[in-house]
Amino acid sequence: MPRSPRWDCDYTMIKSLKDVNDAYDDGRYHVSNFYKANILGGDQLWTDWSYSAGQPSYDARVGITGTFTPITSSGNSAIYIPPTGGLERKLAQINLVANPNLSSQASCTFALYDLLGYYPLIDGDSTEVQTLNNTNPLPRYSNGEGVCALIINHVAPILNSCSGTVNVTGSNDVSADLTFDLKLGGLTNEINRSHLASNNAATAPWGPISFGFPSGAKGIKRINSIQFTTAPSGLFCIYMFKVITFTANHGDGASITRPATEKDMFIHSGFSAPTILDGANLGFFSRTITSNRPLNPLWGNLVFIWG
Amino acid sequence: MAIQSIDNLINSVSGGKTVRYDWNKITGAAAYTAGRWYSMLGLGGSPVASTFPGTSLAWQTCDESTGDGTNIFGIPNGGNVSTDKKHLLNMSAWGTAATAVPSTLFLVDVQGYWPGISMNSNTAQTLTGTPSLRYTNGAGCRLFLTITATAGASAHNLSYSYSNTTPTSGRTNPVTVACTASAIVPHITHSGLAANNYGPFLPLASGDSGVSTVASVTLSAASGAGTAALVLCRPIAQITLGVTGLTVEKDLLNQIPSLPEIKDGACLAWILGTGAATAANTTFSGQVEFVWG
Repeated sequence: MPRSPRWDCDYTMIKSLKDVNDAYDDGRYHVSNFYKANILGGDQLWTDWSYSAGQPSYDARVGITGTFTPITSSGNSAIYIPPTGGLERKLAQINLVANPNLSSQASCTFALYDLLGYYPLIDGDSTEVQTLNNTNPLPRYSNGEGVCALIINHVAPILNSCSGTVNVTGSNDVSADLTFDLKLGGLTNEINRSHLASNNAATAPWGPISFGFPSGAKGIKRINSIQFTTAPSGLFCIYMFKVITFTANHGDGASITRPATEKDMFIHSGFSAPTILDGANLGFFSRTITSNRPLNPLWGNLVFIWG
Repeated sequence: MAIQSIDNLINSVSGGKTVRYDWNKITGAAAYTAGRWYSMLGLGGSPVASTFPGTSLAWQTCDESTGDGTNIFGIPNGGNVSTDKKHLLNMSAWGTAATAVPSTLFLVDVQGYWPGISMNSNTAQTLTGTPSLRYTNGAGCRLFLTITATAGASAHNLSYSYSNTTPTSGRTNPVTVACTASAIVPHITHSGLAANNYGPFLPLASGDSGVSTVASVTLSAASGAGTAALVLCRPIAQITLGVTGLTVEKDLLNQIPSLPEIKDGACLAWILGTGAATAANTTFSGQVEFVWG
């Protein structure tokens, strides 16, 4: 059972250093800026930057209750991806500075994701089985391979820690019940410590980003239903997403240091520059190490090349 | 000739085929807003500022030796070296104030600009002149619109018609591009945090990899005041500042693409991305070093 999401690192058109250099020389690149203010952060909690102001703008991930809402980016509704005329687009560089709280610094981890869609406004006051609507398919990675899922408290604050079960269908079309924990963390944009109950203790403050996968599956194709053991209160959203890559900034625990991260995917990631599909809705999950460390700001840019 | 090995590089350095320039720029009397990009072409310091001289809407070529024709505002980089090929070898930068970070400095080769674009017009403004570019058909060249006199308060979008590298004319922005009301000098007015802001460079139509010329620009509404210059440049490299007063160094040999080429006549200047509100009169400084062979 995978404990961490897998991400796509195939490359078909840009295969060599020459291809990369040619892309830059020919001008087949684009720099896309981003800025987010005051991304809430807690002790080792994963959070989604979507609930903070900036560029891309705030998005509370709302829609029709329990209905899968596919997401395809348009313009700068997410990090802007350049149109490539049908050529394959690669993430070439991540350049960022994260500034945790303008006080004592700690390392932050980031996951760049492609949000495929979500099931919004799941009722946290119910302990009944809530059947989710899957009329709409995944807009990308339609076979579910590499697709992960998580649950986030996206409207009203969670009031109670609890456990729950989701019934999911994996990329191998096998359905399974997966249990997860919701722990009261106090952050509206907090991603649950979602995991199989056997993998971690409910009281543990951290965990992988994603639910696990059904046995033999390489990802999650859809979520069929959800049930809380006790009502956590609030409203919840289940994301379907693909992790594009991870990165981090490496802080100094004692001083106001905000080291810049300049990650070249060809040098620092084993030449595995992820493919970015048309319509990809790119954003960042972030995790700070110590408590009460909002990222203010998270600033930087992504560089894309294509060929 | 070209530097094709470490031996070549060592020979060039030991043979004196290298030059270094220490630059310094100070922001003006106005504070900068977080999350935006600003042109440093017109900032005081070393080299001197450009004032974007020229005839309104007419192309003005820029190069190393003559600058904008009035002010030699580009970073000196050793003059013409053909038949050798020149490269950016390394660079560093730092900011003197806490409000200088986080930020991003982007080094660009300014091919030229169209000055005097009215920000108080809602009709097509025809741009004239034929750019003579250091990159064939503008391969890799990008555009940004920088304010040269404060814009008015009315909201306005920007559309542009350009020729790509084919060159095919009539190419247009692929998305709605919003400018910033009341944008100050030298804000790259389409960058920021508002909906439909893009930066630092203007987005190009699908599949396009450069700009060879621009036919016209049109604002959706007259802002009420102001002028701007549309700058055509070739991005070279960027460097990110995270810590106040700490020099960030970048080795351009050991990265991809390595040793970016600096064309003969390159007019090098910085644009600044502000990750935080930047106080007035904030100093940025650093060095760039070039090698050829």
